Amino acid sequence: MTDFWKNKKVIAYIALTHHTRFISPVMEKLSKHGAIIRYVVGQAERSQEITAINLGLDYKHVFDYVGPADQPEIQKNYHLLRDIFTKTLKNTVFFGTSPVTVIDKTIYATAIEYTGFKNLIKKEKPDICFALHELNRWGKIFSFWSKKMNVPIVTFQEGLYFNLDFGYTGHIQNSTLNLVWGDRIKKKLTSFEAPNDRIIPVGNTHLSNEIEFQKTHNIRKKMRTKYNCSNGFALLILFSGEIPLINELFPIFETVSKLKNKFIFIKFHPISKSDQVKKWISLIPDQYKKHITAFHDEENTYNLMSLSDACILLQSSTTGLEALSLGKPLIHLDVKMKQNLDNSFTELNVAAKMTPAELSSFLAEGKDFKNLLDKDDIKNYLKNELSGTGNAIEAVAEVSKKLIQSNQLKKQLPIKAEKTADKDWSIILPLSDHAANILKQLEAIAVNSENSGSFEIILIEPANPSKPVCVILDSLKGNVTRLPTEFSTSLPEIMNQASKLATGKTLLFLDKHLSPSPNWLSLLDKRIKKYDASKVFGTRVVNQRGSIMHAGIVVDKNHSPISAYKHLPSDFPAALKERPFKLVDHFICINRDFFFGIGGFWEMAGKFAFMDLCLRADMFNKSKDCCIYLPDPCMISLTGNSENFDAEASINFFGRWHGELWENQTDLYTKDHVSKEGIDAALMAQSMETANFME
Amino acid sequence: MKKKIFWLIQSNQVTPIIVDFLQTLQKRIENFIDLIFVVPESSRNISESIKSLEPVFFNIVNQTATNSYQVYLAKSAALENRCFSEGLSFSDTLLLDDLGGGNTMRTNMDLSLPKNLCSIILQIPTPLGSSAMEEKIFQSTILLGRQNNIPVIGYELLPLDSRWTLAASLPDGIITRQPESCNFLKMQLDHTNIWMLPNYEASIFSSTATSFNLNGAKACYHYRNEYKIPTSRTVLYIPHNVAMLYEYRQIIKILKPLGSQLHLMFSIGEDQVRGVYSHREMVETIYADDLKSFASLSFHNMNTPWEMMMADAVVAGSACFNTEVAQKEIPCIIYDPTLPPIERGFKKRVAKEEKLLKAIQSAIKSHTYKNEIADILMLIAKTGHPND
Repeated sequence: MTDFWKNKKVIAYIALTHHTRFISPVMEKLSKHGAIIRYVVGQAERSQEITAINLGLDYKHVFDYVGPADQPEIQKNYHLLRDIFTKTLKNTVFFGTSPVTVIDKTIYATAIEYTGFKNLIKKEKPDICFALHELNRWGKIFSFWSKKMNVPIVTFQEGLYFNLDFGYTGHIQNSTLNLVWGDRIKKKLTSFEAPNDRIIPVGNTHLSNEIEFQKTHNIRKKMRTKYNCSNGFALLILFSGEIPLINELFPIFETVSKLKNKFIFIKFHPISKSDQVKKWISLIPDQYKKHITAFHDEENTYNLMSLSDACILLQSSTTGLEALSLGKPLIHLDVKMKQNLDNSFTELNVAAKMTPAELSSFLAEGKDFKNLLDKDDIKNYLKNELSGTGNAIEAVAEVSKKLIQSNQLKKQLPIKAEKTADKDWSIILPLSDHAANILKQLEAIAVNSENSGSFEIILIEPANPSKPVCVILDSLKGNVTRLPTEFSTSLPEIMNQASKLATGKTLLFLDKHLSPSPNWLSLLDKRIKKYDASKVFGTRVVNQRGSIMHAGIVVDKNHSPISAYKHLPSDFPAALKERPFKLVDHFICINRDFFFGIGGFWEMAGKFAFMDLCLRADMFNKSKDCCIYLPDPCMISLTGNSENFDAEASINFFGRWHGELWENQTDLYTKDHVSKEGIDAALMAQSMETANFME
Repeated sequence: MKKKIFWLIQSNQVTPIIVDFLQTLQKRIENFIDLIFVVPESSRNISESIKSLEPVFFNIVNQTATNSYQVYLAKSAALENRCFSEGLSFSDTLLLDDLGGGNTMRTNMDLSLPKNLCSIILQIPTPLGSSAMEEKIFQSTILLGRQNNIPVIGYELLPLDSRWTLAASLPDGIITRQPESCNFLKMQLDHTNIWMLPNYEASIFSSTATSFNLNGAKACYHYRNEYKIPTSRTVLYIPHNVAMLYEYRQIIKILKPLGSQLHLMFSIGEDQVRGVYSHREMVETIYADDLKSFASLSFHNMNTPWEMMMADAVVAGSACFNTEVAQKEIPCIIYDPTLPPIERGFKKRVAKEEKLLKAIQSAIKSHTYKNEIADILMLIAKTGHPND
């Protein structure tokens, strides 16, 4: 690790202090290992410079990267932006929340930042970039230019994401990978539109450090001594941006003022305006003041949590998760607020909901807050919210290292042919451990491959085949080679080994569970003859319900590969066109010599091995779209959608091809004269048509 | 039936001078146009200061939608998939954070539009000087105008020659106060209806305007009428002094080639009598031949300097009281071959004839863009679309 990061250039975009806490621990770690860290801030009225100054970070402003020579480009982009807003504001009310001049200042700054971030990455030539997320313009532009210039960029998770799903659209668009805290957020993001393969739960980079810090520095004891509550009971009330009416809290203040050794600490959110905070504090009646201590930015939230014996929230907030992580009982105080957000904490039984009167009684009766909630519920909640325990920073550093390694990978060496090609075809089939499917596949190959030239079958056995599978495999005769798999060997690696054993002029690599249709070899033979040997062929794949699983691979709006026209009827007209694609998947037909020349599969590509091969074929040929999609023969997938998440493969594949994968689905739709609405209607019809089919 | 024009006023957009001026304007055009002042209830605090304008107050109602996916999609659609040249879409860049995602607010103006309403006039907000409420009403008025096919004309109160031009791009026409704003917006916006006010009106729309400016405007209306000075003619103010008879003769001679486009305003002092000749008589006698080349001329008491406001420029033989006063508002060209040239703000001293001619040519050119506000309103009434 130490040597790897030495002199690696890292750029981190930072905005607000409470956001930067997730990035800075990682940067500190990388810096310790010798990485050169450059922090950059953007233009905002809520100053981002102050964040860097307060944290003592050496930073640059994105405007620093803009010079007089950039003015024409800035003006051009500003006018592009202004013209559409002129049109929109003249005719619609949709942007009414933002005053016209605020929009104007925003778009002008955007035009500068667009050029600034481009110049920044061009000039600094970083090895990797970091941003909290790409939901704001700075993160979006920064990640866009990182991608354009093929620099991996990692984004994180800002909070617990209480908003509706659409509010996170494009959360993982230009960023290479998004490293979230836990499985729940991954599920939330992917259930709407985020790419499953590019979100990796690693834990919370801030909390893991903070919990450790609180423990090792004995903060609880120090804070309780500092605020004279060592032998008492301390209640911490955490406000979100909205401050409640003070009289809502009077019942609690009243009770605490009458009890011995009970203290209230109030922490205002950093976003609250200081004049409002001061006014609110001034309204605390004198008789209660002795028992109440309020802070805005003067005291660290985590130190206060450590000090406390129970934490109180009025609205949903990330601080709830943090309080639970620090082992504090959590209470949702039910008071009237303008924004009554859903309280996921009470719904998940990790916070007790109480009115001020109920809480007062609870305090007066001296009940134990620790017994309020089921510990298992809290444990499960934390497990779902936070992956791993305590090494999130290490995990991010490791992912980042692999991203850089993949991104800066050199050209693969060619494979040396070991055998003479004396057959027409080599069918290379990795097997599942599903006996029935294996039988179907082998039967389909045997029946459907006759009279189409000479062929051999190389079967890649599952790592630890079940007995029924062994029985099938042992019964096989004829031109069949069996290749056992060791656990430590990746599938692409074994497929490369299989290719070395192959004696066919053309190699056919099938996904597990893929079965050929009648005359597939003769159809392939007829089609591929039209092209030169430096092509990669893919075919239509349909499932047993007759829905398309693969009709060429396109790159979607989030720059992630997906099958074109997936789930539409197998005879959907656009899927019946033979044509070039950037990528194909599930089945590959390739000339053996060409395959060897490219260097075979990349052994680190995992489930992306076929797509990686396609992209390298383009690179090798120095041309675009050298993959050819063939609607016939049609292959049958014997399983439903079996997209397993493979974090290692994702890191490697997306790290390597970050700068190559750009949205092209819209182009395909335009070429095929299909609209999104038309596709949606066809999808609906197909799902109704196939709803009752059993596989 | 007379055409009607709404003039929308909001808090912080008027001073006592502006109110007085608007009243004068209302009076000047009353035979042709009903100029009606409308004020949102949100600006009720200025009711006392503008009561002489007999304003009509109207209610505003805000409607909001929060966290609406439909709003989000509608906003995205409104941006029409427009992108930066390298493919990053504006919607992806701005929608979720800066532009409020699925939140929206609509400000409805409860303002009934009379028949024959042919325009709404309002101030153009600026990024460094307007309030959120002002701007919401500004945009609502733009929408109201478009929905009812009524041209909305914006005027410059705070400077519009800044890097931000979105607000100025929204109205159907723009009335500017300053040549730099006029030229800049003509360059920046694909807009045919950009006008510039003459100095005497432009100076009114300023927070620092005084009764000097207001009296100047009123005097200008009077003299333009009295001397029948057509709007196309450039006016020069000559702060004449009997001590410089020869020098001013030189200046007049230099200006002769441009004389047909010029009206000369001579300032005269009642005490500058020399022998049997009054100041005016000396000017008329000594310069008689040369003055024939000029389209028109007039004489003004030097103790009423606000009348200078009618001039497009002051032309003097030396720095003097008039140039000192005028240089705050009007270009002052001092022709003095004995001193080195200087240029500071509106004050320009030239030593060469061709420099003087060039400066006046520039004043003539600049004048061609200038339109009195009443003329602009008349033009709008003539060409604008009434609400029927």
